[in-house]
Amino acid sequence: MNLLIVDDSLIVRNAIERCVQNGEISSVFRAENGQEAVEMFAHHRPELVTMDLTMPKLDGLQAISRIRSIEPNSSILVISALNSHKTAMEAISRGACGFLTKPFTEREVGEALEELAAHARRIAH
Amino acid sequence: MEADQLRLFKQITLDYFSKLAPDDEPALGEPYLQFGEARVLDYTSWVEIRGEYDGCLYLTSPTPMLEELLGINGEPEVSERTLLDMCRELSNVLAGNASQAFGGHWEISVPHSLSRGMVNGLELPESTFVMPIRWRDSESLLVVGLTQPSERRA
Amino acid sequence: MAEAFIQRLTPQSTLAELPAYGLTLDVESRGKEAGRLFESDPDLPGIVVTKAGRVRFVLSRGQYLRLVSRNFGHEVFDPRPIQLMLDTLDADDEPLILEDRTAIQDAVGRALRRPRALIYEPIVVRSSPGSGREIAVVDFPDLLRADSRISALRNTQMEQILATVEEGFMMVDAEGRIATERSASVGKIFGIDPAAGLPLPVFLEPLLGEEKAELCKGYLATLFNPNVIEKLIADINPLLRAQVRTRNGTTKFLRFRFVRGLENGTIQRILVKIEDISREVELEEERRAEEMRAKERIGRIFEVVRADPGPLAAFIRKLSPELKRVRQWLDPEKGDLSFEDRLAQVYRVLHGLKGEAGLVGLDSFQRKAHLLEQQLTAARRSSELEVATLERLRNGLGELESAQDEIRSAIEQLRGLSAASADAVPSADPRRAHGAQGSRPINGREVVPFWDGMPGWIDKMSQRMGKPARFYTEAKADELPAQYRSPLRDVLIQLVRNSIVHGLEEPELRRKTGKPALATLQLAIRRHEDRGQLEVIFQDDGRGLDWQRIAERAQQLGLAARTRAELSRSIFTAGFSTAEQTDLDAGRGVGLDLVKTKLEGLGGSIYAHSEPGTFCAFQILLPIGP
Repeated sequence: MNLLIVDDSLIVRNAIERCVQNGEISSVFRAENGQEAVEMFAHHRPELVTMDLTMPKLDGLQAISRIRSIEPNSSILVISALNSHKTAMEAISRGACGFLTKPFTEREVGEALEELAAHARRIAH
Repeated sequence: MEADQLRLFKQITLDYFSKLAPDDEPALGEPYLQFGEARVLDYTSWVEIRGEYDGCLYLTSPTPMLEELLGINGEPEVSERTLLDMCRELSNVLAGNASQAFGGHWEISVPHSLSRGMVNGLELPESTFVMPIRWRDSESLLVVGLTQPSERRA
Repeated sequence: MAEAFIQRLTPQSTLAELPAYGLTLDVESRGKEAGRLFESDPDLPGIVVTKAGRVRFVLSRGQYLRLVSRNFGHEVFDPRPIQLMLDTLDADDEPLILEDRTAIQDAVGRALRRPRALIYEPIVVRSSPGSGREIAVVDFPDLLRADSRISALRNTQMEQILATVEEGFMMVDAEGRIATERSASVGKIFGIDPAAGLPLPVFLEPLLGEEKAELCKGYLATLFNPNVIEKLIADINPLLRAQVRTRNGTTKFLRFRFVRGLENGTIQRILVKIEDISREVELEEERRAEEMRAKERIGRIFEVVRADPGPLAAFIRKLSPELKRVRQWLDPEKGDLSFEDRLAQVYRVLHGLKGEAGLVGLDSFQRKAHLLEQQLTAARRSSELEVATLERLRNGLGELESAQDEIRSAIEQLRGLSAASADAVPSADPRRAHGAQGSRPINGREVVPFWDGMPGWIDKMSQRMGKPARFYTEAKADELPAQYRSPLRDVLIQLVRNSIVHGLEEPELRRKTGKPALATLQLAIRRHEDRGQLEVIFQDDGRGLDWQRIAERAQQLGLAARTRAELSRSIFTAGFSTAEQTDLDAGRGVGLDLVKTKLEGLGGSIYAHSEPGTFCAFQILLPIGP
């Protein structure tokens, strides 16, 4: 399985990548805005995506919609500083599978990625 | 800006540190009104806020604190780009974490880095507060200015 | 960052559990000895300097570095006795020495009351005899860190309460409808049993309000969405802490948790767990409020320490009359100004005070003034009744008045309680403010009276105790030797407290007995050059000493006292105090015995004189040089 990490912050991308311990994840791609994320997704078709919301060019909510229109079965986890329930439900109605609020610990992201991978496996079968 | 809102930003700041550095609580200075020339430290990041409240928030930090923050965020690279990124990310988290408490009508911009001259050129709401965050021997300033709905209507 | 000692602390921890550094040097040792010690241990915060075996001073790393980093610092200090460093530092204050069994939180309080120049310096800890290392130095930051850790530990008691909470359960189907099966406590928690078949959001709407009910509906839909990972939406459960208004009008806090019920891999229903967490929320709010108050108290002390003494004194001086004027304008019964004029006047004063508070560094006061100013701006536009507006503004003003009290009490704490600090902190006296820029007025021209600032303090405190009193004196500041100023100030504070709390009657009783309602506290100083004595008399016109009760108490304590002279001496015995309660103003356990000890330490003495129902006077005699 492949993972696409989308966040406009370099250190957040690094931090999420450090959390990847799942042996099933073979490649990690990185994008720093929504537009780049959609392009990367169309090209590499990763099964897993972590998505920031507040980003330049194309924001996370729009990126989720576009990715889901490319691949309705993609597993997307939002990792954002926005903690409002309304925003979270909006992201989920557009096709996200879960929502994690920043700041996060590496353990939280590690466990969330495990859940996300398990979810993707279930869909594939 | 009301007392409750100030308390909220205090709490968000405390929560951030208690999650990433649980043994090392920051000391938050009493917030004071922004007066005259703004204090500007090594790196400054600014977030615009729109929604039920309009305004902005910026964080200005000295290099040593950002270095320490990179440490608790697990980032080994200490360079101009990661220091700046850390400042932007922290301003993003502090602004974003307020969104639920403000009823979800809370849109925040992507963080922008500001130079010293730009900070003093900012047009801040009349009641803009500065909250000093002292942590591991250095001090950052969180500056928050929000316009209340009633003020806007008038 | 977190050292091991922090982890081992308990809420009962004492100074004995902090890292201590037991290095000692005699004042006659060379300066380079100190340098060698500081170099060999980079963590060493300070060295105890002794003279003839007695603790004389703590030379902190900071002080040492400041000295040797001067031009030719090493050349000057290294080959010479440490005494020279002490002389250069003008170190005539005794360091703070505390027993090792002192609780950490008490120790922080004591350390913070030191003169401001010394507030960050290490403290000396004395351990019980025979334990080997008898004297050691503890770093002040270590003490602060330990204090905050202990505060955190005290919070864990809340977790135990959680365990005893009664939980309610119910089931909800894919349409959000409540099923028949539910636990018995559901009805108890909501004050009403939900009807089976009723959708959960509809049931909750009158209890939670429309917005939360809508979020609940959205969240249930999310849970039934098979694309959503259950564990990854726990963060956004909108009812993790929901405030509920029950039918009988009470308010509760409930925690809702949602668990998917799967059948053959599809989500059939949701199990809803409900706990009443009101007690937990209440405790947490109390704790937060207390934490904030404690932080604000300390913050205020630091503000005062940081503030520029001259302007601060000027500001404090004008503050009280200004706030009194504001209160009058906000009182519709007083004066015949129009509503608009009242608001305009108040705004003008408030705005001025806000600016000045900012200039002198009283950030907390400035913030409060600003918030009141905003209320005022809003009030000018509102359609509310004028009387109601004024009342609301008066409440807001109360906040400012209490901020004023707190600033004054921070100043008093810094001034009154630390013996040597009288010169370090500003005062409300104009003469003092004038000469406050330098450290010590030496030529006797601008001598600061030791009762400086007391009239205002007495005014406030006596009002608060419901026994208004006025302070009156004709004494002149230069009538007494400088070394008596600070101890006499402590003594006077104690005597004034005693007077107001125990000596003065309520105004009503005073009127009945033909006295003026406003009590008088008087201070007189006389120099008796012939006897080489200074006489200080403090007198109140209160109820006087109760000889009967004093005789009973003396008997209880087994004191042989029968005559008035003997009885009046007995009140200075340790443990004599007959106060029923201690509070802030009565002073905690600092009784007349300590006053006596303090004066005897100066070679002086104290006597009490009293006429029941008329007065009580304390006469202090101190030696003066020829």
